[in-house]
Amino acid sequence: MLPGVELSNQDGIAIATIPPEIDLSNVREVRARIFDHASSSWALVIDLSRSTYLDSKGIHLLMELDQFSRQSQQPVRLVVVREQPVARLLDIAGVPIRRHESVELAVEDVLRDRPAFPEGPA
Amino acid sequence: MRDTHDASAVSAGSGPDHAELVPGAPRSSGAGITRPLRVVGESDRWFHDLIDSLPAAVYTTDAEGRLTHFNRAAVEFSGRVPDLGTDRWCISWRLYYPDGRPMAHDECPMAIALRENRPVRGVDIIVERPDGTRIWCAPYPTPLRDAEGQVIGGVNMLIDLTDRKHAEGADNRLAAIVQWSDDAIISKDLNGVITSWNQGAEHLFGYAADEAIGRPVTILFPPDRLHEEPRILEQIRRGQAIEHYETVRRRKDGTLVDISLTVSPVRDDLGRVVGVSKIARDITERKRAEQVLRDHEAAHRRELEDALQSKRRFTEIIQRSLLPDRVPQLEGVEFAARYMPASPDAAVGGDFYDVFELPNGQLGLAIGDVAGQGVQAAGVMGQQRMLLRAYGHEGHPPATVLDRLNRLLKPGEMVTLLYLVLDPISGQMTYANAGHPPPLVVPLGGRSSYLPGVDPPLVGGWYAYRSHETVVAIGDAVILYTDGLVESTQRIDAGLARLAQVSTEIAGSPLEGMVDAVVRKLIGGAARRDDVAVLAVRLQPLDPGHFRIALPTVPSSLRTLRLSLRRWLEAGGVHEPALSDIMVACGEAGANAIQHAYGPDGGSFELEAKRENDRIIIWVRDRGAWRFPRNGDGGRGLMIMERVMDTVNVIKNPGGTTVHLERGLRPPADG
Repeated sequence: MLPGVELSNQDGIAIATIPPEIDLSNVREVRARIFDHASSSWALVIDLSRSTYLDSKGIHLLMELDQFSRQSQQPVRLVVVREQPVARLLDIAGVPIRRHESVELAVEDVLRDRPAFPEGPA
Repeated sequence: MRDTHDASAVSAGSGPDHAELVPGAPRSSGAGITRPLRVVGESDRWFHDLIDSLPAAVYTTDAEGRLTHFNRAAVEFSGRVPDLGTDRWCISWRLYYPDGRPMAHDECPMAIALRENRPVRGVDIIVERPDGTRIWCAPYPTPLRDAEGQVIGGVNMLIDLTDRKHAEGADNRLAAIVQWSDDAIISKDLNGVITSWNQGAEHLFGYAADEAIGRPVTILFPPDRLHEEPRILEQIRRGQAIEHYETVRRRKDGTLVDISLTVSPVRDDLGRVVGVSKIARDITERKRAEQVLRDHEAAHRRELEDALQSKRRFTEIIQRSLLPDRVPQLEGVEFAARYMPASPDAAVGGDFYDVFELPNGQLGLAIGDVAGQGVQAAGVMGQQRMLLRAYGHEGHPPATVLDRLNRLLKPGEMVTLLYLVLDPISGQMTYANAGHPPPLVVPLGGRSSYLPGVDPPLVGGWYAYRSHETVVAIGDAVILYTDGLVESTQRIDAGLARLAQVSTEIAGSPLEGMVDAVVRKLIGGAARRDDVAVLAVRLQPLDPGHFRIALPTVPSSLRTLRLSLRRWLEAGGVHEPALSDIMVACGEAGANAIQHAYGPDGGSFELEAKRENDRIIIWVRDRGAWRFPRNGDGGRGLMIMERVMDTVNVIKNPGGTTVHLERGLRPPADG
């Protein structure tokens, strides 16, 4: 079994670090954990910087997260380095999520777009 | 003026003083410490008394985060007496994020709560006491607001989660052991519907987890055994377990398998039976051995084996059943393994070996020898092997794995163990050796040599084992063995010298033949008083023109496919972006074969690849008849393949489906 996703939290932003490889064997668990994590925060950063392999199941998950972002009004950002082979696959598959080169830049971007009266979890 | 306070006064009290809950009652000096920044009214005092009565660590601050009050539990929790009016944000000595990075006090959840005027929830922190002990805890920082909603201070409660985290760790460890067990471990609900399915079950029955979960467990029953299920469920509903029940089950491909079943009820917190856990072990080999035994008895009725003999045979069968039944199939990696029990007049020992793929693509190889003989040694050996796999899979370096196994041994047990992690691409090898004879490296040209660095055997308790690193070249053989090989017929130093000499002479020969020759020349037909186990591995040179691999149709095959294909492509000088494009396209084709190839022997698929000048041509073949499916990826698999490859053909034959892929390696000419 491949390793799973690592989750953390920064300024109420859910950060999901994607394991180096995503395929049939782990995508379902990764998907469940990301959605679970995203539901308790106001924004989501998906860190693909360690990613070396992503198949169509992984691309499909990113598309679902994009849809989720539109429906829930929760900003979603990707972290991917331009030189990573995965970046090319994102272009080929037309993944429309905004990309940044580091988690810090993604978090800054999300915070800039933050609504004026953020909803803190009560 | 600042209240002073010493820890002894605090710990002298035991439990909250309920009298303090009465508003306005005199407060004992040890209960809580307040520095009034403004006049303390009745309501404030009541609030502080309430805090002091709580068994959890609670403190308050002003709007700038300066500490204004904390309770007795806070002193015990933080291991220090916080400094009122000076300490800010938190009562703790030091703070860390759950991943171990230090956390500045002004980044802590309480600081965020005050700055942003909102309660912060769901963020764990680690508190370090001055004595270095650490507590995993959940803070509940909440701003206190005046009538206009302005922050006038804050209150925070810290809940100790250390025990829960340990428990979660134990659960994870258990889950890892279940996942990596060679035994099929299945759970089902009380209606007989499968609810979990481990890797052992995938291998034993041929169904992938997503094919089995949600289906009735009777898919595993041959028609003449269907009557067993109601009886099993009935017994479980009564709360009774079933142990070592021997029966027959049916694999996905229709073949039958002899198994031994242990079935136990799963209970909820209230003790009600809510499900069933089944452990199934393939006993085909044991059945065969028993048949051999019966034949033997018939032929030599006069010399019926005495009780001791059959006990020994039984132990040997247990021991064999604990050895791995397969070694990983990796293109470009050659394995050979031998296990020879001691001569019939000797008791059975506890030699074992294991080979497995780690999640990062490296290989774990282990060989060991449990002191003592008979069923008990075989039991210790089975436990060690299972733990080794579990810790190995968690990615710990060899020395750490040995440390942990050592801690879990019981007094009186002793094991020599060598654990080695080999990266099949770089040849990088890391190993740690607990009292085991040293591994032998047999280079293609040159003399064999033993790898240095031996620490004491595992005997239980604490010892800081050391990891050592080396690199093996393609073509070098690495031989692991137990002392029976070098000690059976001669003194150990003479045996080691002989092993090095014999292996040097036959360095280039195929690994299977090399192992046979080594065994023959070192122990020949001599009577042995000890078992002999030998495990050898070699990285093979790859044929840059051709590659082929056949794999079972289970999800874990995808990673094996990627590892070996990448190794072949890289060895042939294939670079990005072609490298990743080919990997992705082959991954898609492989995933389709795994998900959709059915048939009488639809248990495997194969990938064959050829290099023709600057083109890579690939065929992925299975025995199923499928169309490009849309499930799971929204139909993106085919689209991605077509965009990254020059040619994609899906060819359906009566016998199965072949995906034919081609990709040029030169960048396309401009224009």
